[in-house]
Amino acid sequence: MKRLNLVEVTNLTKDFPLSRGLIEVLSRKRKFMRVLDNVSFSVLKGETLGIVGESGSGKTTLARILLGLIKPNSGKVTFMGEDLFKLRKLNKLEVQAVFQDPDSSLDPMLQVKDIVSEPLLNEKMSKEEVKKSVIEMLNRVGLSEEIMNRYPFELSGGQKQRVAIARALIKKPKFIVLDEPTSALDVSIQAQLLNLLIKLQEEFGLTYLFISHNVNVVNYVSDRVAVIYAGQLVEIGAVDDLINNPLHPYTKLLSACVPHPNPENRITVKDFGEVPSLINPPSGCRFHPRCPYAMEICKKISPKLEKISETHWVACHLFNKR
Amino acid sequence: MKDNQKNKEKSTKRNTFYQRVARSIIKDRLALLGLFIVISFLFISILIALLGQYILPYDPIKMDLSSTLLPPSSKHLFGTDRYGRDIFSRLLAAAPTDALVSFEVIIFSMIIGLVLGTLSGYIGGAVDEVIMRVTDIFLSFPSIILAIAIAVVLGPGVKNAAIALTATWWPTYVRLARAETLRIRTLGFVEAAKVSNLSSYQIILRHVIPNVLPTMVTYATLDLGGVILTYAGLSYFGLGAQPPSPEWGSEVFAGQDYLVIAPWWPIFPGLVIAVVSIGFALLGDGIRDAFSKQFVSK
Amino acid sequence: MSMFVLIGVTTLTFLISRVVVPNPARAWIGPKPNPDLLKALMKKYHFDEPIYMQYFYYVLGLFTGDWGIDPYSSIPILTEIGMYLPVTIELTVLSLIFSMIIGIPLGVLSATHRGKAWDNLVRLSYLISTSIPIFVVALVILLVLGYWLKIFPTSGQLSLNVARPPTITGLIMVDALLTGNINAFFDNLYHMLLPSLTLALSSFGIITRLVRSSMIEVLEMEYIKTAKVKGLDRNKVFYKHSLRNALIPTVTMLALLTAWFLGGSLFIENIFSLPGMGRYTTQALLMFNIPAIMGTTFLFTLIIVAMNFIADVLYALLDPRITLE
Repeated sequence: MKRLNLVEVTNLTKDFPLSRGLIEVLSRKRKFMRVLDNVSFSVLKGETLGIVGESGSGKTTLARILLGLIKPNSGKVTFMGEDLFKLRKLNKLEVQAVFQDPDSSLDPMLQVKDIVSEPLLNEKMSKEEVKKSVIEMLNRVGLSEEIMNRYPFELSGGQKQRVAIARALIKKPKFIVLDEPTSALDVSIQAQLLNLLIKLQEEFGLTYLFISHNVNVVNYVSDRVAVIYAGQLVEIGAVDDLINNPLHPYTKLLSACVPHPNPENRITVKDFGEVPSLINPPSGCRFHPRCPYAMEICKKISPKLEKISETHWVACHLFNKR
Repeated sequence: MKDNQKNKEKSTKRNTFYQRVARSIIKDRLALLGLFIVISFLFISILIALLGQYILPYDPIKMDLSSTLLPPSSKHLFGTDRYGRDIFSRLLAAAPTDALVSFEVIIFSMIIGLVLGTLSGYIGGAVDEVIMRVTDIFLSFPSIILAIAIAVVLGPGVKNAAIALTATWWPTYVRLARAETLRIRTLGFVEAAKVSNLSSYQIILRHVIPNVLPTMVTYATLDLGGVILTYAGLSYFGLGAQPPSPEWGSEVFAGQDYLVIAPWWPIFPGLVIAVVSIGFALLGDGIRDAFSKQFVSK
Repeated sequence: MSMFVLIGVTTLTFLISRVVVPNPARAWIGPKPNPDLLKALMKKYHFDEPIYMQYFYYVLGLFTGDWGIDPYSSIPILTEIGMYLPVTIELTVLSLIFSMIIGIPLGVLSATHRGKAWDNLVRLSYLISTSIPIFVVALVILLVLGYWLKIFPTSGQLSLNVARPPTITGLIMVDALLTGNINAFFDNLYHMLLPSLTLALSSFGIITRLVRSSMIEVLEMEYIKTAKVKGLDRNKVFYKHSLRNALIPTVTMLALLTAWFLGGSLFIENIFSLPGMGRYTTQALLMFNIPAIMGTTFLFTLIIVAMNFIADVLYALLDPRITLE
């Protein structure tokens, strides 16, 4: 039953320096924005962990740290037990990514075959071998090999994202970070792509970290879901727990915002106030200004993640008392 | 099915974008005039470079003391100079040099700009700081004075003039390439390349330079006129091709003492420089305009 | 930033000059040197010491007023610059005034008639003006207004029958005013008109283009629109808000314009026979007068750095949001 932790994230914190005026430079005061605050979780081998949060909640920063693109200020990321930032070569770790915007994630000056084969650039492979695996990958993601000599601008949005997936898969990675891979696409194509991702996960035995602002999409693909709010992890649990028994008020809020068939009745997160500023975040629980159940303690003390069940954890004072 | 349909839509959209740019240039009569001037200049330069003396009306170098300082006529379109040489022929004969120098300067500036600008923009840090401060020095100083100074130090001649011009021309290209690099390095495909573990060097060669190049080439095409203008300034001070070889700028200098008795001698060469340089400016302005219009209407 | 430019330029000119002329003392006193004199010069200018010490003394000299000696005239460079600089200052200031007189109204006209015939005409005019070599503009103006129509003098600073006012500042116009010599003032202005007009004609486009774009930006800004809605007098609103904001970018171009004028003075002063820095520089360059070249290079850099500083100050004065720290 117990599965191996493929990725382990412990106490991850990331600050971004703010642009400074002359006065700040002179007084050597640097202002920071805490984008990620003490985030810990693990990803089990073969599962899909969904990360859901509003824009500005730090989910993309999390993705970029996991991909080794930026370094955290503190905390640790291990991949199969090895420290991510102690290893010089990231590709040993077999991590790949699919980004949100297919228009910018594919180099407009390169042909599809060169884009897809890019991860193999530093491998000692013959041209024929590379070509063979490009064709294979294109077929696996549902594209015909005729597309090989096309440029990205000749492709549709869905085709582009399939090319990006082919590129991520060609080196047979173990772990793929999917940063809003479908949010730039039309709804009908979104579903196709999600099903493709699920199919490929089974075929290749992949582990996914699936990041999205869309609760429905996350619930559809994920085995477990982590909810992130203003840089803090507020709830994590099996997808059933979060759908049937959301505990954190923010998770409840997000679930309530699931599109209602009638747009008139649709509630959006925005209806409950603005995302807090990360420059001067609210004291205590960062959600308390928007929380309908806020108590005195919420303004003062930031709640810790508490175990509710074997699969379900939440960071909220409402459940802290026990 | 759906993908295919969208694909078609997209490609036609793209076609019409360039078609609209082209159409807008054709509609812009001034840009068209510029295009005509630029093409004629390049055509004449190539023709003269290939066929030389066979097609010139007169020998541009041989003196003819029986026909000195003749005013413009049907025989001598732009008149003759103090040595009886046909000014029109001399100006035509000088065209290839100007074209060649401006191409050399632009190409070398582009190469320097691509190398330093992409390094500066991509690697950043101390490398960026040093390269930027050096371009600051160059850009803050009057470029014509700098070019003349370098040409003087190197000694007069076409090759040295081209080197002197390149030495003052490259900083703009470094800035341009750097600005583009800063934009490109944040794009998804660069991040994807980093995830795929490409080295900075590989990313610059594979992704950054090919994406910087189109902007650079567009800018460079429009910049040719500027080089011709500045080169005329150098040759005005006798730092271009050496006499008796003809040169547009030095022709003006030689003729300016005869401004009152034979105004055609300095004025016509001056007008030729002006017309060519205006041609490039009109074309460049038209292209820029057409592009910006398309982006606005989008 | 400006310090860096100064240090960079001095180092560059120093290195280049030493590469070109390894032993300046020899070059300064001609091909057949008097050995004693050579030794004395070598000692005076520290050419017998290692190169970094030479550089130290060179920079020290720059700041203590010893810029070397002109080998052709045996006059200290700084004294010569003192003789030539006033003309160029007059020329530059007048050109700046003229290019603002031409450039700002055209920019405003262009912005308020955006996309219409006036706009296109203005655009075309500055496109053409910046594309014609400055020496061609000068020659045409000289030929037409000077020689054919005979409206303007063709060379020099003063008419032959007008006495030069006593030198106080070196700037003839200022000296004439200080001594109450109105006649000399106007005569000098009359002589400087064509050269400065030429410079202005080939540079007003820089101002026009900037005024145009910043005016358009300002006109589209909310508070102008609100001011209009509030029913304030249109012209008043326009001048109070827009023009002031349009002037700001012009001020930032001060250093660039100065650089442009200094470059142009090389041609203008030769064509109009004006004894200014432009002519001094070209002569120094063409005669390979290394100390003079180094001196003028340093001076020009100093001027441009100073202009950048002035621009910053003016910018702070014009823009209420910015204060000088």
